[in-house]
Amino acid sequence: MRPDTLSETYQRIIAGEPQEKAFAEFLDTFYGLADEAGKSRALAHEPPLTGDLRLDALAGATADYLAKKYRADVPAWTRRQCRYLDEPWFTTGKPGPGINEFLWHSSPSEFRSRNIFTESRPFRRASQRSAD
Amino acid sequence: MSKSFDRDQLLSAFDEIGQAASKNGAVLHMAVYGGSALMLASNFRFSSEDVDVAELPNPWPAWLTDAAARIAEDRNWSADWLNEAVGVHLSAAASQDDHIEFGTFPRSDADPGLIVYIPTLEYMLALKLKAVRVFDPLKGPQEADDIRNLLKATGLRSAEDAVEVLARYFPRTAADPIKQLFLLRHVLSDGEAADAPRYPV
Repeated sequence: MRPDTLSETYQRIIAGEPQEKAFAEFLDTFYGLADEAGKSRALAHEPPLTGDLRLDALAGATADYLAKKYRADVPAWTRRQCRYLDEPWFTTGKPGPGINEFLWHSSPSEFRSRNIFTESRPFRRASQRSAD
Repeated sequence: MSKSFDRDQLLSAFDEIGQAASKNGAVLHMAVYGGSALMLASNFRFSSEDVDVAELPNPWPAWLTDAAARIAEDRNWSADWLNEAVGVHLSAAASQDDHIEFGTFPRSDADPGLIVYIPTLEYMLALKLKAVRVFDPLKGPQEADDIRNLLKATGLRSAEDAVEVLARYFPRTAADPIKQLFLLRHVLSDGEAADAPRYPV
């Protein structure tokens, strides 16, 4: 069974499931939800903290980004301080001036505001377009 | 918690689909893409969590729906482990010549009920280059590895050569390739490919 909520996704990660897999399955669930109410419910409950500052901030960015993109409710927990990074995270194995600038400009505001600098359309899945 | 699967587990699932097809007097042709195709036919990708397929009959025959559900249940895989969402991302310019027959199933001497195809090396590379998800917060490192390994397997040396391959399948994307070139140069300088990546092995 795929995780139904972002909170459940993080519970699975804490239980040992690979992050990429847990997120991929959650995204397939989320993109397949028919209405905004269902999408709001999938993001509503705050995921448990993992102790990995990047992953904890990523939860906030993810919920904020997906909620705005799909007109769901932005949960209040996304604004807690633990959902923001103090140090910048460029999502590349080899940061450098050129690539950092590229990521700074391409990163959606929900990520950039949390000091996460990533691609312009993160979390793309094959299932996404068919659900859009 | 549903599981990822490896090559042997996927081959065994294909055996089961092939047997179900045979039992129902059918021969199913199925093209497999993405991480699963790499897992099946490369020496540098070892697991996947779902199978992106195309060319299936629409709607699926009941025996296929039943077989896919049974496989998911028995192995604790996601219910939609076999899915066709990739269809909208494929190239309109690709033909049968851009696919290779990977194998027939079941792998025993029984009548084959399933014939599996995979994209050629260059088509696979083009699909990866079009999506170019190398900075995704979670999938990025795997995507970058896949592109580096596919590039090395093709023998292409430069980002410009890679964009020529992209243009063959996705001319609109390649018509304005500044972003792809920039990202490819970064990917090529950002890590090492495997020693001798091969696809198909």
